[in-house]
Amino acid sequence: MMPIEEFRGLLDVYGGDVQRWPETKRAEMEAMIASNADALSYLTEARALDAALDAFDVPAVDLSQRVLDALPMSPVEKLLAWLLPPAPQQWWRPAMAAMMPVFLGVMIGFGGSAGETTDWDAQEQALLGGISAEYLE
Amino acid sequence: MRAVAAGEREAFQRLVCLHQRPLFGFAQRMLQDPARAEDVVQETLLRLWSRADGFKPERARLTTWLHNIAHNLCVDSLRRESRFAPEETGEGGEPVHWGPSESEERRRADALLRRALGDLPERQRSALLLCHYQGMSNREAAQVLEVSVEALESLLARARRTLKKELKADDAD
Repeated sequence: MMPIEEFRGLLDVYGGDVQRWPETKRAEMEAMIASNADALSYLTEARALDAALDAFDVPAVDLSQRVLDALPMSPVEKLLAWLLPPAPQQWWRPAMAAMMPVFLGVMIGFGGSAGETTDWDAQEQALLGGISAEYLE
Repeated sequence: MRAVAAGEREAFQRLVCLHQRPLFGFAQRMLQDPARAEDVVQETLLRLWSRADGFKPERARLTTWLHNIAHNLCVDSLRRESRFAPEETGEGGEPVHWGPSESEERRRADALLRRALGDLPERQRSALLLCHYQGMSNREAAQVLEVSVEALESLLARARRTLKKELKADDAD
């Protein structure tokens, strides 16, 4: 049979619940309880502590939404969140985004026509210059 | 976990539902402060999201890995608290809201246990919480605390002995 101090030490590690005791020691510990009054007293003490610990309850909480809201957003999600704001005060954002194609179209239109004029003039001068030189010869 | 590492939010949400309660139980009993415990759980789960590809299933179970993160965050929080703590009031954290049928005796016993748990050195408290409340084996709890199984058993034994002494001393008063 195991020494009483070893039994006590095992109770300190595993508590008074038989299911938590190591399988290799369980039968020996149970035999100890059946035959030794001190062992039974130590077990009662260990079970009292287990019961006190079990009484320390923690309320259930649901943090799912909080955690999901705190997830970092991808660049696409950031853009969508900016474009589709929840508050009416920020609705200028989708309005501005809707105007972007028009604005870009106007910019390209002006920029493109100005550039073409310059190019044509230069080409025309180059061509005419070449012809006059040939005639002069 | 592979789905979480690939950025699938639905898979992450399932893991959050599965692990948030045990993690909150651990953090709340460690810190005895619901607001800080919620912060710890949130940060633990966000790290699960951002570091999912660093999880090695062959080395530890997911719950062990998460408790290791939560434990380290609790330790950080306790260190910050001790740095900025106001003077000790003698009260053991948040009061419990018992129903009207709960006796004064039970309230007192609960307050005593909370105070005694809170007074345990951090390693001993962690070891006891992981084994008693989180249902971990000594080997898993040792992994969480990054100590040997023998060291974990020593922490458990010292924690239980101290608590028994505290509870006995109160009975004697």
